Amino acid sequence: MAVRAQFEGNNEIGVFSKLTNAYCLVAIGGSENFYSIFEGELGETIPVVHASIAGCRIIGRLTVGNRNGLLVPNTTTDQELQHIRNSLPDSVKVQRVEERLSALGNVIACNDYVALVHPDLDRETEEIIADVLKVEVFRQTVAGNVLVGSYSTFSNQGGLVHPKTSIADQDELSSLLQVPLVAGTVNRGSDVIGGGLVVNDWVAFCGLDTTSTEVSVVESVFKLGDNQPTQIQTDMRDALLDSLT
Amino acid sequence: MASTMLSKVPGKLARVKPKTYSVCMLYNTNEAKEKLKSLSVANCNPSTENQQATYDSDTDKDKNVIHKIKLTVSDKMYCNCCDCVFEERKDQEQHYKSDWHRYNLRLKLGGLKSVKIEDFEKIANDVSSISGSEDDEEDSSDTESGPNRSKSKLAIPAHVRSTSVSGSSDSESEASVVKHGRNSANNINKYYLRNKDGELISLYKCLLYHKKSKITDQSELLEEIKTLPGKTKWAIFMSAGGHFAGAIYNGNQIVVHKTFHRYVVRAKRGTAQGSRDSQGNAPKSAGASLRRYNEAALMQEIQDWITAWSEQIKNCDFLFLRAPSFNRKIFYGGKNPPLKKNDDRVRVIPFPTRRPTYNEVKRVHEMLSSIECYGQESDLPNVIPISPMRQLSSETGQLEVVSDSELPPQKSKSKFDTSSSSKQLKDLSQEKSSPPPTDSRKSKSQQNHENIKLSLPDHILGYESGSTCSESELVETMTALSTEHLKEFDCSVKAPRKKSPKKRRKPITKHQVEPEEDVYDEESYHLQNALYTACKTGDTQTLSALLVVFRGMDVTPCVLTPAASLSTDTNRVNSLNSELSTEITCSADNSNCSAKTTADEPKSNFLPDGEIIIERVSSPDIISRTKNVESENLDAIDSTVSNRNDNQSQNAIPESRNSTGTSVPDSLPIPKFTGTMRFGGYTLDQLSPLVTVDILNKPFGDNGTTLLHVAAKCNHRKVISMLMKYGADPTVRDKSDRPPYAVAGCKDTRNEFRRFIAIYPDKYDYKKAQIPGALTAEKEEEKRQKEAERKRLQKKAKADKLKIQREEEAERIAEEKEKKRFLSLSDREKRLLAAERRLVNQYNREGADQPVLSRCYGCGTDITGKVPFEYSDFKFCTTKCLREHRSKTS
Repeated sequence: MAVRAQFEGNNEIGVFSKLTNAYCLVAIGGSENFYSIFEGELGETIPVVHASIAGCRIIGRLTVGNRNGLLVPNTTTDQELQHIRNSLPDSVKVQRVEERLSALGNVIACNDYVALVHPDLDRETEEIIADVLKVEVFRQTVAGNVLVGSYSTFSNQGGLVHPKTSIADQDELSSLLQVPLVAGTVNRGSDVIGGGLVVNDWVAFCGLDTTSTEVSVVESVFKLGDNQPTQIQTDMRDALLDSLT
Repeated sequence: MASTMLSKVPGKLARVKPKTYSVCMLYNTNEAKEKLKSLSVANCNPSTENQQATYDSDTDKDKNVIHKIKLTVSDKMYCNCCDCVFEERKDQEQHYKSDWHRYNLRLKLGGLKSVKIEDFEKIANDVSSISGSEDDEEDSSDTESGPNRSKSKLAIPAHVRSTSVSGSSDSESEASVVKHGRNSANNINKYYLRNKDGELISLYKCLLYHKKSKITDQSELLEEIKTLPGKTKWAIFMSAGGHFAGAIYNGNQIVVHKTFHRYVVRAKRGTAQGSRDSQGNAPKSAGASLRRYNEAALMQEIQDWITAWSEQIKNCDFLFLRAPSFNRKIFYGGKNPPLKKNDDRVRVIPFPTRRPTYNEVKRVHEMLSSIECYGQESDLPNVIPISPMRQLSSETGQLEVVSDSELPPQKSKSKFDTSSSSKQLKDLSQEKSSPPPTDSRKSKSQQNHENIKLSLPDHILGYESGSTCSESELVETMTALSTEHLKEFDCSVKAPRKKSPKKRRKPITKHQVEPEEDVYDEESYHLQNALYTACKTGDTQTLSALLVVFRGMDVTPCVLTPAASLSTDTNRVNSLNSELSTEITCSADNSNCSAKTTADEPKSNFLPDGEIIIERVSSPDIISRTKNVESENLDAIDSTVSNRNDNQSQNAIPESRNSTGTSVPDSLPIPKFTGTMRFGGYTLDQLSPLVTVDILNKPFGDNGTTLLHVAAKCNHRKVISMLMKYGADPTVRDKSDRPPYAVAGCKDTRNEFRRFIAIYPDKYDYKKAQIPGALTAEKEEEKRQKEAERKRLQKKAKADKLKIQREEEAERIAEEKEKKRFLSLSDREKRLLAAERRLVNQYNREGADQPVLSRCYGCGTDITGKVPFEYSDFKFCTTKCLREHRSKTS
């Protein structure tokens, strides 16, 4: 199921939230509307935590994480780090990263098993990513963009990438990530997928502007909701029809 | 799909060096106005408007298609950017971690073709790893452009490197200008125009509009350009790394200017530390507080100056600013910021600059105010002209074109000489139809222009050569400076100081004062030194060479002992023989050497075995002052030696040599001497009267020791006998009244003295020398036999003793065993045994035959009174019987 949301009138909810299979970080906002949307969807399953990074609300762009861990930039204060540590489950490792490209959310895209990273990321950071998030790290671009975190989003089920990603690139990325990929948009044609969409294995949140077509694409590629076409409907359909006639 | 989509975008223009190039300055108003008449935008000017929204239709299509696409995971293991296929997932994972992939990725982002793995290996040969981070370059590129820095990095073309997104210090100057377009051509910081003569000219874009209020309308732009020659009041401010330079220009004239420096970047730290101060963990060191103080002072000072100039600044048409990262807050920060952020006169200097200095400000002014002319536009169709490098001339204060020949050789060009790279470059030049790079963040391209210089040819270079500056610094000249004039006064030629190795090796004792005047004294002194050294170290070879001197004197006859005594003592003679032969060899070498010095010597017929000779002569360099030798004496020695050889029938030295002196065997070169010998510059005539045997017996040093004492103390037995043979008296006593014999360190040494007596019984007063008596070979043999006998007896006694001990031990062990066995018996059996024994004893006492009370069950032996071995009431004499019995029954 994909839910539409807005952060204080802003559709780029991926900027203000970070969603993984084990936790959800939400920026501290003026009103609690944004938080309550997440809380309402996720409250029973995973912790939804108010957080800020270096006093900023753009936590979704500054942090990167998955079920196993969370990486925060070096600008994070000790207090914030402590708060995040206290709020997240013990199984989630939280680590500060000394990386020049400090908007980790923009330069890293990951699910629980693989990560795409900016080609210029430090070797040390790459190692930290592999250790803390327990993922395979690949340096790659998405449609010629180095900001892989901004222009793609993927869960363990599937992924949405920049609309101009060529089929060849999609194939390559898909074989790298081992999830099906679709090139698409969110927020009524925005190519900044990471900004407009946060997703985990069972729920997705997208900007309020997202069209129903876009939502349906998101739901089908991330395998959300009940209306998933079953194996029979898709793969065996032709064969079945053939034999029925 | 990608290629078809991308080919819609207009191709990239090639960059070519124009044939003609001239510059016209904006501040030369009339000239400039003439140049800028009836302008139109040149064809080569990259337009920004026609490239947007080319994909709009595609995205819609994607949406519709999505429902038909099967959501499957691709199983194509293929890297598009490196063009290689993988067999396994593991290979794929490895590939994406490799430097090759990263390099290709960057090339791809820069719109270049990827390189093959083989070519990459060549390129990367001298670089271990391409680091992801480029921190070092970013931080220092503005302030100091070290030409060496670029060499260390892999030669990735600069505009390729620049693709990384960063808060780069220079990004403000470039990235924002280019923000709107995706084509790399937009990155060009110049605007190209055609004037009324059809000439292609260019101006820096920053002169035309502020980056925030970009003028897109061409006619508006042209209008703006026309006004430029009137706007000649400029202010230029540069601040980086604690340096500040500022100047206000009116036309070509500097109205005011100021430069200064403060310590804000700590030495060897490289980066600015200011950012850490705000993070709570501010460094507390003294250096850090100095820096903080200076940062504040710098800011204050700059602001003060700009405020002082505020009147002039108000009238300025443009304010050009170079203030990377932290420096910006100096100009925009504070309570009363010196410059306003919304002031559209403030322009960023669009090319890299070096450390802010007065000259740099001048260069920036010259660069910005130049209208570059590239000749007729019709000559340059569809190319972007590049301007040659220019360098600020110190005399004229104007920029001068630096020709290529003046540039230093480009070292790393060879790096890119590989086939692939040249191909790659060719592609670049012909790239009209190929897709342009999709990413255009070229903010750092200019910073890295050194790299591009080193690796790419000119047409790529030209991309930014309009702003070249640091190349000029790369010119290295080497001049030899004479320091003659620094000398205080002319001094005459110094005699070359000779360091004689001899001196170093001499052990000089306190009381040995080097004689200064008397030649003979000096001579004997040196000889003595050499002798002492030889005695101390036990160097028999040197010693024998030295002792040859004394042979010519009264000692010689002593050497010739009767053959009869020799024949009796074979051992002795053997050793003496070998000694003598070595002596002779050495002396022969010496004379060989001397013969060389007197090459005119006609009769010298030495063997030409140069190597050996030189080796031997050079090794005892202490003997350089050895004395001359009379040839007759040597002949005499020769004869003695051969005599002995006859006796011993040991032909170490063949006889034939003795008679002819020509056929010399390789092993022992002993030549025949004739004529006067020279050695060490002393001829025979000069032989000092002082150099006699006395020298051997002369006591020296604190303790009044003689050479013999020394040799005896050090237990050099051969030396002792040699010395004594040549006349060293064993009766001479030292200060503590001990003869050499008493000083001897061990018995063998003492025996050496006694052996000498055996050979020369009458030579010295041995009683006085406290040497007990001769030790002839017979005596020695006798003694040895005695010793052997004694040892044999000792050994025997010891063996006997051991045997007895062993027997006793065996008995004891047997008893112990018996005891143990007895104890293990039950009480009843013990009693039985005791009774048995009593009975036996009783019989014994009565003198009767011993009764047999019990027998072994196995062999039937009498075991009365003994502790039997038993099992289940069977009794045996030994365990062997028991075992047999048991195996039989079971």
